[in-house]
Amino acid sequence: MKPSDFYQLGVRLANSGRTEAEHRAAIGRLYYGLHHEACCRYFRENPGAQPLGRGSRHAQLIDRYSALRASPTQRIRRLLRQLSRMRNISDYELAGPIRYQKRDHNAVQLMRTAVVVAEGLLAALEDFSPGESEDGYHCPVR
Amino acid sequence: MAQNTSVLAKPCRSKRNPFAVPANGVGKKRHAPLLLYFPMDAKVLRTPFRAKVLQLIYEIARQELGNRLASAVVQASTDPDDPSQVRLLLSIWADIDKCEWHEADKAISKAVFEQEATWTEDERTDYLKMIDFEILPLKI
Repeated sequence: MKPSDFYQLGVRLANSGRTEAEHRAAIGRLYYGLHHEACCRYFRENPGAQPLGRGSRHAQLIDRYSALRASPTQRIRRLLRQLSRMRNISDYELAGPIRYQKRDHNAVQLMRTAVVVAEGLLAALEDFSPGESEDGYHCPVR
Repeated sequence: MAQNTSVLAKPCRSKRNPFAVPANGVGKKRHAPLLLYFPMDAKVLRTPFRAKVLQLIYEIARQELGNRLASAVVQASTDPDDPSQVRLLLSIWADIDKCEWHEADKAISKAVFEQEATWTEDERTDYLKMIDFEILPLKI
C-alpha cells in the first residue's frame, strides 16, 4: 500500500460522500495520506536521518521539516500543521456547527478547505522531493 | 501522486493571478481589517519580537491580498499532538477562491521565509516554536 492510497480515498470521499461522517472522514484520510507521504519523502531526501519516535511522530515530522531551511519545507511544516488542526476538529468536535478559527462551518465547508490545503501541501511536497513515494513503507519509526 | 484531483472546481490554470486593488482604483473599496488578538491568552504569549513578526506576516498578507483580506486574528492554539505546546496562530481569512489561494499561500510563505534570514538564531527558533499562520479561502 502507498500513502497516496489514503489520499485518494480522501479525495473520493470528498467527491462522492453524502453524509457528514464521510465528509469528516475525507479530511482525516487526506491528512494521514499526506502525513505518510511527507514522512516518506523526508527520509528519501535524508536517508541517514534518525527514525521518528513512535509516540510523537506527527510533531517530530513537522520539526524535521522546520529544521530544513528552504522555502518549500517551511510551507510543508505550516500546511501539515494546518491540515492536522482540521483533522483534529473534524474527528473530535462532533457537535455542529463546527467552530474553526472563530467561524462556524458545516462539514462540507471544512472539507472543501481541507481539500484546498491538501492540494497545496502536495504541491509543496513536489517542490521538495518530486515523485510519489513507492509501495511499502519507508517512514522509519523507532 | 496526481494533482488534478480537485473536488471543487476545474484545475487552476493561471500561473499568477494578482488580486491587489486595481491601480485605477476601480472596484470595491474597503479599509484593511485590523490585526486582532483574541482571546486574552494570546496576549499573554505575546512578546515584542513575536508581535513584530505577527505584524510583519500580516503586512505581507495585506500587500499580497489587497482588498481581498477579510480578517486577521491571532489566537492561542494548542497543538493537537502535544497539548503542552501552545503557540500564537495568525488566521488570515481572504475573499479568494482555491486557485487564488494556491498563489497567495505560496507567495506569502516565501516572503515570510525570506524575512527569516534577518533574524538571529534565537529569534528564528522562537518563531518556529511559537508562531504559526494560515491563509483561509472564503470563496470555496
